[in-house]
Amino acid sequence: MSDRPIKPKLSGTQLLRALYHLFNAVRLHQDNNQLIKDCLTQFNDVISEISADEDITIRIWRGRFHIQGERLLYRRDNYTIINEMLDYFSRRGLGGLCLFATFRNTRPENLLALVRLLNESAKHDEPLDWLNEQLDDSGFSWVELYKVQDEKDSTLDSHHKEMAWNTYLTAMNVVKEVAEKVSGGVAGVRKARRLAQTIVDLVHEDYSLMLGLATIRDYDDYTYTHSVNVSFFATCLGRYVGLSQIFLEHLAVCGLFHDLGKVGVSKEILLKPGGLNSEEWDTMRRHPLIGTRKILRLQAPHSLKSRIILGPFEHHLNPDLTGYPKTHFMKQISLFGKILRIVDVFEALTAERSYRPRSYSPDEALQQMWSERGRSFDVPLLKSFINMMGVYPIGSLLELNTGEIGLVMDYPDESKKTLPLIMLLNADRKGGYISGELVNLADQVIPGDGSPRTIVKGLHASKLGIQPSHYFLQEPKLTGM
Amino acid sequence: MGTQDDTFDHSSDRPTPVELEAVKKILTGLHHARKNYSFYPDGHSICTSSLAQIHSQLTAHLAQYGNLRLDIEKDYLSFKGEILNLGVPEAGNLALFFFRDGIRWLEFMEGVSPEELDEFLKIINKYSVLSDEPDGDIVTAIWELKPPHIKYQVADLSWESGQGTDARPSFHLGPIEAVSTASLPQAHTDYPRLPAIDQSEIMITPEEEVMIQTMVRLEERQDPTAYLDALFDSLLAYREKENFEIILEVLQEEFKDSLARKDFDVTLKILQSLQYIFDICQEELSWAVPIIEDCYFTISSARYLTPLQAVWSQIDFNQIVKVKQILTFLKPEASSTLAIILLQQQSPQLRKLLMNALLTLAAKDMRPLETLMKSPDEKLVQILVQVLGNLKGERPVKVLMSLVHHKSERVRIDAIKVMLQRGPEYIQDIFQLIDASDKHLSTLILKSMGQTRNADVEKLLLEYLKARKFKKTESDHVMACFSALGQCGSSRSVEFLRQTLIGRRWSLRFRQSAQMRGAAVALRLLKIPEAQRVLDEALRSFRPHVRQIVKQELS
Repeated sequence: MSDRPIKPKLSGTQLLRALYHLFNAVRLHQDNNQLIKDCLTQFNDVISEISADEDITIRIWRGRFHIQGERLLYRRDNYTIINEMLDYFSRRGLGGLCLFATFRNTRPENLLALVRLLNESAKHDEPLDWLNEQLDDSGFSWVELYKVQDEKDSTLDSHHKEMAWNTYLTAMNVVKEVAEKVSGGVAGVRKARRLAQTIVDLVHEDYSLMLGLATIRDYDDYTYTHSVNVSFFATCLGRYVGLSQIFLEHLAVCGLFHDLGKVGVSKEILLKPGGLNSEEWDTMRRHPLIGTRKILRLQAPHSLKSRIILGPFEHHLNPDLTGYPKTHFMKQISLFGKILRIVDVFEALTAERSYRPRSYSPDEALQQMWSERGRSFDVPLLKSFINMMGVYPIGSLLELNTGEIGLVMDYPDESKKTLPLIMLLNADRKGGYISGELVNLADQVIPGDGSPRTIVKGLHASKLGIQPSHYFLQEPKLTGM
Repeated sequence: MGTQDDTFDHSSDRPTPVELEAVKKILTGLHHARKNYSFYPDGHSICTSSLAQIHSQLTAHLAQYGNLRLDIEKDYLSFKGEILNLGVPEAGNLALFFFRDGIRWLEFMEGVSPEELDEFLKIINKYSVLSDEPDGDIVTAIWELKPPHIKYQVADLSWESGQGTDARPSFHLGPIEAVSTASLPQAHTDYPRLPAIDQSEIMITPEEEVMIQTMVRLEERQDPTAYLDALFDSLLAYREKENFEIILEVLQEEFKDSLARKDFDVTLKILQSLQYIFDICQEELSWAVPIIEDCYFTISSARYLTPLQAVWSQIDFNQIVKVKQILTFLKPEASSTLAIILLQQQSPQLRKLLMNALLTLAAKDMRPLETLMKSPDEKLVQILVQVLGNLKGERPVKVLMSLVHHKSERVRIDAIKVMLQRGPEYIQDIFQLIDASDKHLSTLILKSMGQTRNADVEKLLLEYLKARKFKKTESDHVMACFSALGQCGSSRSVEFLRQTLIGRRWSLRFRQSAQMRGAAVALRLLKIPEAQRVLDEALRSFRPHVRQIVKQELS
C-alpha cells in the first residue's frame, strides 16, 4: 500500500482537514504559536500535493464540497470535519473560496490574517459583505470569496445534464457501431476511448447524475442500453474504490464492450420466456468467449486490449471461479472482472426480463445480491457498491409515510446513506407523474404538522410506468433545501 | 474536462493584423519548440530555452488578447477564421498531429504555466511519430494530464445541437407503459422477502479497505499473465478453428513482445501453456493439433525471435535457466536466428547455452543447419562446424566432408579437426583425401593430423608410408607425411623409421631420398628416447649420406 501515490480525492479531504485545523488553531492562539506554525506547514504541504502552480478552488454545491471541480467523496473518517466545515461556511454565507496561484507568494502572516478575518466574520450581520470589504482594505488580491450559489441557477447543471444525456446516446451508438463492424471485420476504438474519457470526467463531476442515467431501460435495444448502464455503474464504482484516471477509462471501455459476445445471439434466445434448453444455454454461456474474440479483433493498442479483455471474459465467474466460461489457467479474477460482475448483475436484476415475473426494485436487488455475497460477489467490493449506491440506490422509487412517492436523487450526506435527497413525484391527470420538490430527508424542513417524511418501502418504477432517468435530466423544483 | 461547447463565433471577431501576426509567431515558436524536443534529450538547455521563449510569447499574448483558440483542419491551423499555415501533411506538421487524433480545436488560457507547456510539448513529441498502433493518442495523454489552462475538443464526440439526430434512440425518457402483474398469481409476483441490509454489516473494515487497495494496486500494475490466462482458457473452450487461430496469433505477438521486454517468465508461461493445450488437443481436439504445431513453427522463425537477438547480451545469470527452458520449446527453424546470435559477443555460459540449443535442434532436424552451412558468412560457418562435430550419424559427416573442401581455409581446418575427433572410422575417410589432387588440401589434412598424438592416425600413416610408391616429384608430400608421423606417432613408429633411415640400402640415386630425410625429421619430432637412440646410431653410421642427412636435420 505504501507505494501507491496519494490520489487527488484524498488530497481534497486533507485540504479540508488542514483548513479545519488551521481555523481552529488561529481561533485559539496567537500567530507565533507553534501549533499555528505546524498547521500552516501542513496546509502548505497539502496545497503542494494538489498542485504546484494552479488556483485552489473550494466550492459548495447542494451540500457537497467540490475541490478543484471534483466532488469530494465522504467517508466515515472525514464526515465529522466535513460537516463542521459545511457549517462554518454556511454561517458565513460562503459558497466557497478560491486561492489564486499567486497566494503561494504571499507571506504566511497574510494567510493567517485571512483566516482571522474568516473566523471573525461570523459575528457580523452580513459576513460575506464584511469579509469582502476587509479583503479590499487589506489588498488581498490573491483570494476570492463566493457567495452561496443559488441552486435554482442551474446553468452548470443544465450543461452537465445535456452532456450526460448526449454521452449516453453516443455511447449506445458507439457500442452498436463497434458491434456491427467487428462482426464483419475489424473496428477501431478511438471513439469508444473518447467516450470513455467523457464518462470518466462526468463521473468525477457528478456521479449521481450518471447513476441516475444508468436506470434507463430500453427493451428493443436492451443489449446496448445494458452495456452503457454497466459502463456507467462500473466507472462510478471504479472511482469509488480509487482507480486512477487512465484505468477508469479502460474500465469504462470494458463496460461498454463486456457483452459484445451477445450481439448476434438471437432475440429468440435473449428474450425467451422461461428456461433455456441445453443448446440455448450453451449458446448463452459462450458469449464471454465470443466477446473475447471480438475484442481481440478491435484495432486498439495492445495495452488497451489486454486490459479490456479480462472483464468481459470474467464477468460471469464467481469469486471461486465457478460460473462460466470454465477456467483452468485463471487463478483469480481481476478487479475489473469483479466490478463488472457486480454491476452487470445489479443492472440485470433491475430490468424487466422475459424469463421472470418482474424486475427487482433497486433496493431488492441489493438485498438479493447481499444474500449471495461471498458466493457470487467479492464481499469488500459489494460492500463498496452498496455504500456507493445507498440502501435505496439513486434512481429508486420510494413510498413515503405521507403517501407521497419520491425518487432518490442523491445522498448529500454520505455518512447518512439511509436518508437520501429525493424528488417528490406528483401524479398528473394523464396517469403519469411530474417532478415536484426536492426534499433532503437527512435535513428536512418539517411540515406544519411537525412530522418528518420517512421511507415506508421501495417501489417498482416499471409498475408505475416511470422511467427514473427522465427526472434526472429535468430541472428540479428546489424548496426546503 | 477538456471539452467545451463551441460557442466561439468567428464571424463577429476577426483578428487584427497585429494580433494575427502575434499568433503566427506563437505557432512558429510552438513548432520550433516541438522540433527541439524531438532532437534533444529531456532537460537540455535548448529545450528549456525554447520553452521559456514560447511561454513568454504566449503569456504576453493571453494577457493582451485573452484566451487563444486554434482551430484544426487536416492541413492547417486557423485563428478566428484566418488560416495560419498551409503546410503539406508531413510528419512535422503540427496541424496533422492534432487532426489525426481527432482534435478540432485547442485553447490556451490565461495562467498557463511553463510546466503545463512543457508536458504538452513532451506529449506532442512522444506521439508525433506514426507508430504501428492504429491511432496516435495525443488526446488520451492530454486528458490524463488534465492541464487546467489548455483545453481541447475532439471531433469524435460533438455536442453541437442538431448533430447526431440519427443518434436518437428508439426509446424515450418519458413515462413508459406500466408493467402489470395483476393477471399473475400473487405467489408469482413476489420474490421471497429478504431481510433489509444491516448498515453495520456493510461497513468496510480496515482489513477490507486494505484488500480493496491491494486489488486496485494489482490492477494498475498491469500484470500481463492474467490476460494471458484468459487467452489460454479461451483456447481450451473454443471449438471453432477461426477463433482458435485468432487467439494463437495474439499469443505469437505476446511471445515476441515478452522476449523484447526480457520478460522470460511470460515467454515461458506462453510456451508451457501452449504445450499443455497441445497435449489436451491430441486427445480431444485433433483438428487443433496441426494449428498449434504451426504456431510453434511460427514463433521459431526469425521474425519472432529477432527480439531475443537484441537483448541476448543483456541476459543476466539469473535469467539463464529460464532462457534455457524457452529454447527447448523451439523448432529447428530457430537455428538460423540462434546461429546469428552465436556471432555476438557474449559470456561463455550463454555461448554454451546456444551451442547446446543448436545441437538439440539439429538433432531433431538437420536441414536448417545444413542450409546455414551454405552461408557466405565464414565466421558463422566456422562456429557451426563445432555443432556439426557433435552431431551423431552419417548426415553430419557428409556435411563435414563437404566442408573439408570449403573455400575458407579456417573452415577446412576446423572441419578436418572435427572429423579427426569423431573416431577411427572417420579418420579413414579423411585420410583418403591426402592423395587428392588438391595438394593444398592434402597438406592441410596432414598438418591437422599432426596436431595431436593419435594412434589411429599413426597406424594409417605407417601403412601408407610402407605401401606407397612415391615419385621423385612428391618429395614435399613425403616430407609432410613423415612430419605428421613424427608429430602424431609413438614408439610404434620407431622401427619403421629406423629401417627407412639406416636399414634400407638405397641406390645412389636416392642417397638424399626424401624418405630418409623424412624419417630423420620424424624421429626428431617423436621426442622419445628410442627415437633419439636411432638418431644417435645414424650419426655413427658408416654411410656418409646417412650421417649427413641426420646432421642436416638436427641442425
